[in-house]
Amino acid sequence: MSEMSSVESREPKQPREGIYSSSRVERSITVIAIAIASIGLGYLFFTQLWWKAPPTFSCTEDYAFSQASPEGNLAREPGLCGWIGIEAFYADKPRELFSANIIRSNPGPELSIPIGIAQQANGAFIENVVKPNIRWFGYVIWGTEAFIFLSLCLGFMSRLGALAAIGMSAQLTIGLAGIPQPYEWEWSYQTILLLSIVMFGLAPGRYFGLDRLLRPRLMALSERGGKFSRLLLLFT
Amino acid sequence: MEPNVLLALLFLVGAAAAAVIFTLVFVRAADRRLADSEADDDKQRDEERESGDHAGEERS
Repeated sequence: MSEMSSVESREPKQPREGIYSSSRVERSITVIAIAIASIGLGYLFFTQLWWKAPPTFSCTEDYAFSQASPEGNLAREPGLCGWIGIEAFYADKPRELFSANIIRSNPGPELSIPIGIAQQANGAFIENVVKPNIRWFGYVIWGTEAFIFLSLCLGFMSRLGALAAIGMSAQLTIGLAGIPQPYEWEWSYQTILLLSIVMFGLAPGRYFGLDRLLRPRLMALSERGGKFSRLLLLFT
Repeated sequence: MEPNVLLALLFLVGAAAAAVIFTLVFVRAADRRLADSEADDDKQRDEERESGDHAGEERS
């Protein structure tokens, strides 16, 4: 009993927000690990900005998309249009994610998540929204990835940045993960998606970035009834 | 370097600078506003205490 009360007395009555570790070393390890993961994920999106830089997004002059050839094979085009076309090409070919082939002698995985419906929805979105509007929708795609990079590397509105990363990586996972030609390893996309989810939960800017400066002030202002502050608080 | 890539790089640098400047300006403005509002709260509390004291004196 006395031991229990001494443990209770050692525990802070209100845990410090974001960092629950007890010692300075523990806190430093947590902050450094989260900073590396956040900046690393942001840098991943940074590296993908340049092969599809606006205004052409490295597409052909007539913004041609990859599509099925008369023989039914994939006829590829360059740039962002090329990859959007690849997603559309595979939209009606059902795939599975998070596959585990446990018994090697059995063909196909024993565990997996079928994503046929999500693929069809993604295909409809590409055909009806993305493709007809690629000249401006390309800016939306590029701008979203640029925002993710800035948000996760600066720790600025990092929960919003991580949410955008979830959206972007989920779309890419549904569209491209595990396709056979060109071969895209499904775990490349799944790992980005899972890391984005972790970043969303942690809101990394609270540990190392600009959100550390913004958040306490936004909390104080929102407690005094600031609606704009309350909105921004959700993003940090 | 291609001009569109240079432009994109400049855009990113500008956006990063804008985020930092926004944060610094917001921090300064919020601190000032919170200090003002705390001073107002203190003033109001003092006034309430004073009016309470007066009421007590009148009753006695």
